Amino acid sequence: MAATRRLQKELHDLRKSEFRFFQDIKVDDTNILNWQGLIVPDRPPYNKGAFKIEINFPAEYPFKPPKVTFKTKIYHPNIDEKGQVCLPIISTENWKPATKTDQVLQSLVALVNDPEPEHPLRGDLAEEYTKDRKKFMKNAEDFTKKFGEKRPSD
Amino acid sequence: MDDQEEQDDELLALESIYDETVLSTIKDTDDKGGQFTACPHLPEKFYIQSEPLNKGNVESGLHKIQHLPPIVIHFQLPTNYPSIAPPHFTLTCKWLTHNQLSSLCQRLDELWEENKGMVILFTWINFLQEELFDFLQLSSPLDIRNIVISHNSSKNEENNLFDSRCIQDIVSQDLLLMAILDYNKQMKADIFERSMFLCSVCFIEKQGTNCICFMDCDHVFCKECMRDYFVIQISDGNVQNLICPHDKCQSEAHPSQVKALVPDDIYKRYDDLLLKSSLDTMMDIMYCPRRLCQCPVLLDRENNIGRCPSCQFVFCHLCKLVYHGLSPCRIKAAELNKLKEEYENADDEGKKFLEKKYGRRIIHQAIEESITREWLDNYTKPCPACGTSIQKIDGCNKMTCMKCRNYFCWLCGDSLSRSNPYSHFNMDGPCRNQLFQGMGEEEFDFEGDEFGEFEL
Repeated sequence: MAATRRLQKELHDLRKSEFRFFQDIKVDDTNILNWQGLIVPDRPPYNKGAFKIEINFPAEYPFKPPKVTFKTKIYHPNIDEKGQVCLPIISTENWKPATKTDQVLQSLVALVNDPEPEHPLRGDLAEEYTKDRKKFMKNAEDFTKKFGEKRPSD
Repeated sequence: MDDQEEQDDELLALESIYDETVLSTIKDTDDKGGQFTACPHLPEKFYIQSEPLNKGNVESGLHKIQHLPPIVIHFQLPTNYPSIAPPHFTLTCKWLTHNQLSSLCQRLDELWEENKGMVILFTWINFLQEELFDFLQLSSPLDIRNIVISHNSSKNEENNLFDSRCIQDIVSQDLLLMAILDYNKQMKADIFERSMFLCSVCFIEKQGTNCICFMDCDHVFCKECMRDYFVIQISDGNVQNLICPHDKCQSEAHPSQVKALVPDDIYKRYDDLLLKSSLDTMMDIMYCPRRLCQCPVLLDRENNIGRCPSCQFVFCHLCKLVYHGLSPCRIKAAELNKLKEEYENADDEGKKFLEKKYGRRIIHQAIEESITREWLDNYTKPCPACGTSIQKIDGCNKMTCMKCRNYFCWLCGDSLSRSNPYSHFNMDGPCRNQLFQGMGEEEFDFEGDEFGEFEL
């Protein structure tokens, strides 16, 4: 399977690169198509915790894009209650087989750090983010402290 | 050391420096010599200026090239070389004028005079290889418009004017541009095949013979990956989308590249779909209703008539039955469904009666049509812009039409804004916050407690 070889290489490179914003990568030996890891944002209000995500690669990877879901609840305009996130770089119409997982992760971390209230998945949070930033920051920080994962020691 | 030994040593030394692709030698005792192919190094961005196709625009005659055909020096060593006489030589080139070749010959003569009595071939070769451009003061763009003198002028005149050791290796000026471009293409292909490339799809380094290069962007990927990629795209019907896999790159694969890689049946599908998708955008075309024909037919919209150029079938484009002049269509689409139900509920006698009344073919068509329509109704929704039936396989409710690339909402069927399609799901209305509504609920459940517990 072409996917396996490439994913092994990507995983190896990613682990070696010690990418600060994505840590604790766990991959089941029997199924390299499913990855888990921790998103560790460095900007408030999300820098008070970390967020578990799951990346699912289709068998046709890299000809079809991976899917990313948050497993930890997050108070974010672009991530809904089910952990679904709309990331343009991995949408079917935009996906390019030469795009690497670390580019996907970088784009995800960028979205977490800088919400895009113009096309939110949660209109209510986007509204709060635009109209009452202070309240949003406070809520998001409290939420992160309550539900977020423990950050790996820096 | 006598001349013979010096000659042998010199040829041996040259052979150890240059490989047989550029140097060949003859080492008979009474005939020593050889030839060297000097390939001048071109600067990074090098252009040649030919006769512009469009007279007013000089740039239309500019061609970017990486390789110029070589300058070949043939040499023969007289028995008293190097002690007394220099080697005899000729210079052969396609793209230098007789004047330029003559001055090169003079320069080689000067070099001999400066180093008289010593072996000279390496010095000459080095000069041709490294210093030629500086010496002739050549630069980009290299004008190749008046290189070859027409052969009408008498031989004697030419011989008087130019050094007889110069050979212009091209028949006429007209052939020069083509010769240079062909050589450049050939060299590029040779180098491509010998080089190694890291395929950024499978991350494996492969030799050029196992790779393809997208023509507009020069991005290289391995053939194996591109075959799989094309096959998947074509099988999914994405024939407009065989584009370079590189990030943000939009250059398309050439149909000949697709053909060379994918199996014949997949290529046929690609070819058919490509034709179909361009025909589909033309409103005046439909396919011949005869199932075994299916030839594209140009419609006469005013009279609702189609004439198949292949099977000569003349039909009404509304009911797809044989043309019936001004009388109304015998059976309308909506009635087919009624007919199907009537037929299915009828007893044997009733079925026979209906078959007689409408014809067996129409009954079958009615049944098939209604099954197709039922399936389309259940599983697809029409694109609001072009009407194509779109099936949702997965993803969110922001749909992209496969045919016209229009965005639309799967829930309410409205077209979405081109610049910000997601705004639809945030504005007040029935679709607010429904971007992911309806997709695989159970598999996205959070572990642990319910989301709603958190109180603000």
